[in-house]
Amino acid sequence: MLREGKIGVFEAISVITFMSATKVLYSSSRALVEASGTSGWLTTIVSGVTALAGFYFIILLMSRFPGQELVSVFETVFGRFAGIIFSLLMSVFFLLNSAMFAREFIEAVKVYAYPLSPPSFLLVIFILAIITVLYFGFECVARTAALFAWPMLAGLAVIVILAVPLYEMSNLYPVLGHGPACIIKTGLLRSSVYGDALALAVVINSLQGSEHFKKSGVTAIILSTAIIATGFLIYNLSFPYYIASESTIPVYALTRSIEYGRFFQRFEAIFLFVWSISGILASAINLYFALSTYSKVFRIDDHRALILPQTVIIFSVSLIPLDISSIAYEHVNHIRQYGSAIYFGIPLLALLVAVIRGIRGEQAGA
Amino acid sequence: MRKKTALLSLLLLLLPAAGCYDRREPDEIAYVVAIGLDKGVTDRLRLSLQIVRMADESGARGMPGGGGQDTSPGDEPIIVTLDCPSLFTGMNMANSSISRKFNLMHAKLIIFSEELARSDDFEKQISGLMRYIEIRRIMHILVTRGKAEDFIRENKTLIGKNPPKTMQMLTDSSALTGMIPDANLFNFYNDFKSTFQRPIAILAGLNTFENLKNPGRGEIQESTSGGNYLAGELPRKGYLKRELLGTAVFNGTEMIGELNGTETRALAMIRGEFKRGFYTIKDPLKPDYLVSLEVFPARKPYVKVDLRGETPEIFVKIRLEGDLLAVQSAENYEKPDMKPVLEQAFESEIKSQVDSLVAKCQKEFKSDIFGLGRSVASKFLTIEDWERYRWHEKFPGATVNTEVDFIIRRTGLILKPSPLVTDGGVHK
Repeated sequence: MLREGKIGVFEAISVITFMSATKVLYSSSRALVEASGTSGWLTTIVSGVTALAGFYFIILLMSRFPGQELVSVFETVFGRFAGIIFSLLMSVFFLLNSAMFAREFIEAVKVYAYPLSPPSFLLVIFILAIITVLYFGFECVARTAALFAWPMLAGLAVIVILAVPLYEMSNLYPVLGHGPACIIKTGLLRSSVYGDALALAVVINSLQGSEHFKKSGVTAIILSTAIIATGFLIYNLSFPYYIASESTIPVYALTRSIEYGRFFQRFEAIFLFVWSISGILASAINLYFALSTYSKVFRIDDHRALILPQTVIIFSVSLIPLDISSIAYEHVNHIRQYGSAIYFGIPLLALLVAVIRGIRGEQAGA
Repeated sequence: MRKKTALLSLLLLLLPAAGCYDRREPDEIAYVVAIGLDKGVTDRLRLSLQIVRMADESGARGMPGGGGQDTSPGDEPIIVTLDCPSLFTGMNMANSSISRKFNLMHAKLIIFSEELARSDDFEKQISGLMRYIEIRRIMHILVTRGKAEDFIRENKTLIGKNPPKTMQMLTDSSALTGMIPDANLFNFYNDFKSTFQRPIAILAGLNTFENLKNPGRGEIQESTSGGNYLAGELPRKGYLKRELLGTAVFNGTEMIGELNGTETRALAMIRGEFKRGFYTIKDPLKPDYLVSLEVFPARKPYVKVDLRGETPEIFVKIRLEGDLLAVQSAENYEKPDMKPVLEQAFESEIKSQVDSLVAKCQKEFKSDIFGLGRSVASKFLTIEDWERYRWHEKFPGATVNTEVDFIIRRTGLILKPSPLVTDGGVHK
């Protein structure tokens, strides 16, 4: 039995928010701007609301099986073999997320900060930081996330405030971007951005009961939606729609454009801090959930035995995409568009099967 | 033991995190402060790079702000000029004579020659610039009448020790006078691809000092605005030939015209970018005398759009306030019943400048450099509807009505001037 310790609501919210909200700092936000034009901020609110609905089904599922974690629920509902398959699918998805965060980060660092450093060199440093965090277990991961939550929020708030002179209300026109149908369709498709709340179900026994699970998940989705929607809003306010979809990393482009006279320029230094901490934490958290799911499937008691092999996999997987174009246009885009099937599709399927077959957890049935 | 190992690992992480592959000593870099681009002769582009003087080993000269000395007034700036296919290859080619790697991170100005700006090549140059990390979008964009190379050679520092500061302050004068636009690469590029409005750049030129006529050879202009000149035409002489005055106007991807200083101020007022400026108008009661005012924006301009008719109707209200600087006639314009006389005269003067500029942009340039399209776009719900409307084609035929609202807030150090005295010693 994997011992993961206990965490509070704030830690749980921080973990999920880092997983979800960090995406606005990477290239996938450009894809959303391209898809939705001036209404990126509205589209992501639709995604957030969809994710809340999806999370409601996860709450319903978990409430049928009190005391059981998601891996165990899948085994109860689908049987041992099919349960393992679904759990491993989740584990692979977390792993893929972690690898893509790592590679996106490295490519962006190559573009913006360290153009001469080899990607593998940057990746090794990135992964060493992840290993250090993971080695001390879930409690350490969660507390590190909680520790950096306020500084990260403060960093983002500073960027939002400093960019005020760049805001031009007319950049939000036409307000509905490519139209209401596009907002709803894109919003639904990209709801996986907030699907990370599912990860709480993997470690539900580390939370202080199901109430904390609900509270943490819902709050994290709302908070992440607020952060991402704000990110899109300030980006849409600063850049007209035809330029907004050009930047490799939209928020970075925004911080580079801030200036206050001769003395106060180059605010990307603040962004680099927010960006690197968030990137490392998002990748580490995703990798932890991959490890945790895998350990629970195969009844491995100590996750530390898996850290090195999994990080080697991360290293290798993250180097598979040939270039930044294939990462941005294909890999990350596919993860965002089809991730909902994993995040919400599998739990919904489990809920349906459980309801139809009348399966309940032992404690619930008692 | 575990804690020590972890601590040691963390400390070891700090070493590579310093980014040793990308390490650069400041004195290994040639910092470019201004980039000049002309049409090339033996290749597509003639590139001129103005470089900050670096500290030599004895420390006789230094980086600006680094504590060392810098160019003294008589010093020539370091300038490299060469023909090349692109800016980036040009920097490599320039390295055949200059050992340090060029770095554009501190470049303050990018200067295009008028010839290049008016050609098809301009579009290619702008589009090719924006991808490179060292090109900062906060650098200002200039179009010089004549060659960019010549402008850069005259782009010297006269006061102070810091060339980058000089370049920055040069363009900062936009906020002081309004006679040049605040045109940085960020705004220019946004407008370059815009469906809302057309881009503008700062107009630059070299003054040969021949416009300052000797007595008996010139004639006094009827104008009082002081801004009816283009860059390089000011009647002045002394030290620096470099001059920034007016606006380069673009229609789509090419430069199509110029605005003088006065027109540039009117443009800034409509765009809501006017910060302050001294104005001189004829005294409304005694036209032989002049009145000077310092003018500020009171509020952002109000723009109302009506698209119900065949042609779009746009109403622009400019709201200004100001202080009295000088009243040559000693008329008591400070009195509440006299103040409106002067205010209306100023409103009328500005309205005629604004109307004339709008007409010029509609008829001559066919270019919405005011950003009126932004207000028009607010009437559309989707991007597709907006783009189908084709604002740039509609703008020349649009009805633009303007109104100027001006109030004198302060009267300077005098609240009631005493009358002037005639030759006979009687108050006029």
